[in-house]
Order: sequence, then structure tokens, then C-alpha cells
Amino acid sequence: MKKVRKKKRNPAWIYIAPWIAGFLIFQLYPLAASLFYSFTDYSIVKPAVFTGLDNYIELFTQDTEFIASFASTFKYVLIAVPLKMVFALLVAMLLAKGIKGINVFRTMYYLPSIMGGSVGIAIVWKALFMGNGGILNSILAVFGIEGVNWLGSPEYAIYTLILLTVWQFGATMVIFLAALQQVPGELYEVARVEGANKIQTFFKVTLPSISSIIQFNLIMVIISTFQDFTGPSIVTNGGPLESTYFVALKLYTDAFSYQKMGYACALSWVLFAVIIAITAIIFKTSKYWVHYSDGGDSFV
Amino acid sequence: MKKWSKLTAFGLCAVLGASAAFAGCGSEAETDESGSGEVIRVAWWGGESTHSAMQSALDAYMEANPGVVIEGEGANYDGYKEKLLTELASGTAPELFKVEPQWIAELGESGYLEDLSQHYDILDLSEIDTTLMEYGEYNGEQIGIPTGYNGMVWIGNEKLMDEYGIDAGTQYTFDEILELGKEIHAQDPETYLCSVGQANCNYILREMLKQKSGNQLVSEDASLGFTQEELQECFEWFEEAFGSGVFEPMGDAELYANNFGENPLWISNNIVAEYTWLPAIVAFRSTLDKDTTTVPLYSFTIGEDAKNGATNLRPDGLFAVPKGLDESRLEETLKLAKYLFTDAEAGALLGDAFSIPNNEPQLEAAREAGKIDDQIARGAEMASETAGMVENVQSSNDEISSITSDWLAQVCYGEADASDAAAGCYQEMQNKAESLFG
Repeated sequence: MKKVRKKKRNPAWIYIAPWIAGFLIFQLYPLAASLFYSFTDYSIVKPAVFTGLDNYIELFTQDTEFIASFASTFKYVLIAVPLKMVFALLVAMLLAKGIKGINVFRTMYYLPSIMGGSVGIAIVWKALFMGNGGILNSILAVFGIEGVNWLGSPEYAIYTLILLTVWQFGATMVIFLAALQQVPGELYEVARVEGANKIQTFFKVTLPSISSIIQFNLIMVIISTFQDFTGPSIVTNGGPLESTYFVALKLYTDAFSYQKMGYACALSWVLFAVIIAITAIIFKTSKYWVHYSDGGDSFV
Repeated sequence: MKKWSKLTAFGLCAVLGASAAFAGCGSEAETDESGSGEVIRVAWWGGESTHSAMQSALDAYMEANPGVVIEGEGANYDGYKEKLLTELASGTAPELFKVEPQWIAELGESGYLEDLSQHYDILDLSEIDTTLMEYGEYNGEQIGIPTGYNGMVWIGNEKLMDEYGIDAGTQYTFDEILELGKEIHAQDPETYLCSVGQANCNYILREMLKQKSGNQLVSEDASLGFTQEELQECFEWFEEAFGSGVFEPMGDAELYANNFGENPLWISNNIVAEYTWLPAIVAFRSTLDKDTTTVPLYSFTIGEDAKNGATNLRPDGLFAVPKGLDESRLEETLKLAKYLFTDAEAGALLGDAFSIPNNEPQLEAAREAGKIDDQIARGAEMASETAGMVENVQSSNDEISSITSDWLAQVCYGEADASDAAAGCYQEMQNKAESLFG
């Protein structure tokens, strides 16, 4: 009799079915709906009316707030992202030295990433940076330095938000720490034997070894920073004088305060396109600076 | 077999997806689990005292009407509108909910609200001030029941007013305020006559414009009701007010725009007055020291040639009913609304939770129960005495309002001079009004 060899069933599809369901319902459907609504005049309380490219045309030709909000957002991203990456890497390198109590420190540095988006932290940030009687200005006064109205000044308010986001470097730091701990010790041994100093070792061994993780973190931080909403909404409410009126906040205001949901959807797709473009540039240029230990077929 | 597993997986996805979709749908009308009647949901925003007063009124109604279960949903103002609009769109809105006067137009246009004038046999609103009733009208339909009198007034620190010789019974002109403010700031550079955030400065600007022009800010035909010169004069006044220390610097005032009572200068008796809504008197008073109290002041006037009253008197809010309720639920809701907004017992329980009651039975009952704050009552009288025109839908549009707010902020922060700001603002308002209402 012929033996009928039963093929093994692959249960993987069943295991990921809940994720697929969630993706379809909570991500793909809203994405598609948002793209549709971006071509309509839609305000939740009224049915959507198809208007073609009107929303996009208005964004680029009539909405002065659009240009201003993108400008302030770009400024925010250009300063906050490198600072956050540098702080995260520096702290990760300190923790990677195998100090005692590393778990405690890792948790402490990670906590701001969880708490940073809360109303409580926003209130604390106000108390820290307000002009009259703010904690920072009080400390500066002890040293004879006259403080400024950090939150009430269009020039300085954005920096308080940059500080808030940089303070939440914990999540990025944890990923860097994991990558640093994976760098083969032999590489450092060889560098030491070859006579490399600490700076040379950092730039020639450490950075290349974790370059793929740098790429990952860079993309994730850029995406999250472009979409930052909590800080500008709660701490500064987009002010003063719209100096912190970032794109995410404008999007929310257009959608829920002005009931221009279709217009807000168009804005969200423009933001998406910008983020995709920047991500594509990073990927495109990665061949020049991202090193994979196995020659590029997989991540380190 | 692989195909079979995939089919199983996709089938599982479909089941999960369908379950999630049905779970997200609006539920059937809720019923009281005891089976005695339906559940009526009531939503409003406010502080703790408002929630407490409203809940006591709802409890009293339930006690008198055992067949009805009412769920009160007191919330903060932040996010209230967004939640309400989403609920209206999805058919899950409460049976009775509070709205702002400036939302009436968009809600009326949406067609989501019940025309209450069709139900005056159950809901008799004849005792309510007809001026306030206008705020609930849209296209000939009465879609909102107004709550108590509200308006923006100045709230003064009585101790400082005595110190600087400011009389609560005098309606000061804007020019007199400039002179007074400069004197006060000259005597004490740490003290300011007024502290006003961006949004409230915008309210002052709007009242100034209406006084100068005698017109709505934006007419029904989308034309502006004032001239660029009038706008520039107003901006110049603010330029001087902030530039000469009459007003606390905008950057500092704006930090406490939503919680002025916590402004350190107010708490330390360095701010004489703040411009805000009537019910805020109590909150502002609570942060002063025990031997200091607050008093309401008249809104400022441009003088004898003012063509409109100085105060935008309006209801504290309006309560509306969504369309589409079944007959019995609608009837229960209307009876509840009648109780809450016209019944003397409810008036005694609510007091000034929604500002000063707008009908005699409730006002009398609230007074007898000692639930009316004297200063809020006095402020309401002042607001009534100086009330101006009822603002039309076009003028109260949020996008129109934000234009004047943004340009005025530039003047107040010293980023733009009055002339340039007036030109830019006027042009932008014309364009926006044309695009919205033309």
C-alpha cells in the first residue's frame, strides 16, 4: 500500500490571525477611509461630499498656517532628533560598561518615555519653565542670571518642548543598549591591540557595528517627532504666536475644532508623504553608512 | 494542508473582524436592568460644584419618577465637543446634552437635533427669557434650551480696587482704563490693572468693534460689519495697553488663561482685574487670601458714541435633544428637560450651577435656597444692563474668530504694529468670510 505522507500543517497563519484582523480593522480600514475623506468636504456631522483635490490645493495655496506649522515642525525635528539620538547613545554606552545596578538605571531612564505624554508632566514642565517664579528661573537667579519667559516667549517656547521630547530618550536608549551589548568583544580587543584610542574605537568599531540600529532608531524617532502632539497641545497649546503650532496639532484643530475632517485627512496624508520621503532618503543613503556584519543580507 | 491552514486563518480573521465590527455598533436603547423603564443619559460640562448640583437635581427627579433611570455624564470642557460630535454621528449621543451657543449653527445644519418647538405641549419654555431663547434657534426651529445668563465681565480684586480708587459701580471707558492702568503700573511696576489671555483679549476686541460699528462683525451676506480703520483703532488700544504695562505681558498671562485663579500675580494681589465669564467669579475668589474678595465690574465702553452694548450677554449654554428618539424616550427626555430648566424645585437644587437662572420660578427658588452667589447675581445684572446685540452665526464662527485672535496676539506680543496687523487681519477676514458664507 502506498504510504500517504501527511504534510505538516503550518499553524503560523492561525497564530497571526488576530493581528491580521486587528490590522485590517484598526489600521488598513482607517487608512483607506482617511485617504478617501481627504478628497471630500467632510465634517462628521454632515455627509462627505466629494471635492477632488480641493483640500490639497487649499493647503498649498491658501493656508498660511500650513506652511508655518510645517516650518516650526521641521525646526523641532531638526533639533530634537539629533539631540535625542546622541543622549540615548551616550547613556546607553555608559550603561553598557556593566555598571552595578544597571537594571535600576535602565528603568529610571526609561520611565520618562512612559510618563512624558501625561498631563501631569505637562503641568510640571509649566512649573519648571514659566517666567514669573518658574523653577528654572529661580535656580538661574541664584547664580545671578536673569531668566527669560521660556513658555511665554515665541523665541524660546519651542526649546522647552524640544527638551521635553529629548528627556524621553529612554526607549531609544534601551534599543541602543541592546545593540551595544551585541558588539563582539573581539573587535574591541583587536582595536586595542592595534593601538586605537577610545575615540578611534568609537568611530571605527562601535558606530559601524551598531549602524543598522542607529538607522532603525533614527527612522523611529523621526516618525514619532513629526507626529508629536501631547507636548505642544498641553504645555503650550501651539503658542505663543503659533511658534509651537506643529502639524499634528494643526491637524487636530482642523479636524475637531473647525470640523474640517476631510481637510485634516488631506493634511495627514501630506505629513505621511513627507515622512515617507525622509525615510526613503535614509534608506537610500544607508548603503554609504550602514554596516551589516554579514555583508548586508540581514540585520546585525 | 498549508492552504487549509491559510483558509482557517482567514476564516478566523473574518470571525474576529465581524465580532469587532458588531461590538463597535451602537447598542439598542438601554433599559434599566430592573426592567422598570428606560435609561436617559444626560451630558454636560463643568466643575465639581456643577456636577454635584446637577446630580442632585437628577436624583430628585428619579425619586419623584421611579420609572425612570437617569445617568448623568458630567465632564470637563476639554474634549467634550469632539466626543459629542462623534456620538451624534454614530447615533450614540445622550438623550439630553449641553452645547455652546456657537455650536448651534453647525449642529442645526447637521440636522441631528430635535425641533423642540414641536413639543411645547410637554416642554413649556414660555417662562424663559426670550432673548436667550434666540440663541437656541436655527432656521425657525428651536433646537436648544438656554440655561442661565452668562456674559463676560471684569472681576476685580476688591482690596486693590479700594487701594487704587476704582469704583465697581462705574462703567469705565477704554481710554480711562489706559490712564488708570498706567498710573497703577507707575506706582508699582509689579502690579497690573488687568491680566487677560489671548482668547479673552479677542472677546474684548470683538465687543470694541461692535460698539464702534454698531454692526455684527460679519453680516449674513459675508461682508464685514466694521472698517479697517476701526479695527486699527482697536489694535492701537491693545498696543498701548500691553506696551505701557496696563495689561500683564501676554506671555505670562497666557500661561494661566484657562486657570487664572492660579496666576501668581493674582494670588499675590498684583492684578486688579481679569476679564472672564461670570461663573468664574467663585473660582477666582477662592485663591485669594481670606480677607480679600472679588467684585464684578462693568465691561468697558468706548464712550458716549458707543453704538452697541458693552457686554455679549448669552446663555451659559443650551441643552439639546438628538433627533430620532422613539416616542416614549423622547417624552421622558422632554419631561426631564422641563423639570431641569423650568421647575422651581430643580432651580433650588441647581442654584447657579449653570449661572443665574433665566426664568422667575427657578430664580426665586434658587435665591430662597441661598444657592445664588451674590457677586454672580450682581455680575449678571451688570451684564444685562449693558447687553449688546445677539451675535449672529457668521460672527461667532470659530475660524473667523481665530483670525482676529491670531492677529491681535501678534500686536499684544509686540510682533506686529497695529497698522500692519489691521490690514492683514481685515484682508484675511474678508477672504475667509467670503469662502465660508459667500
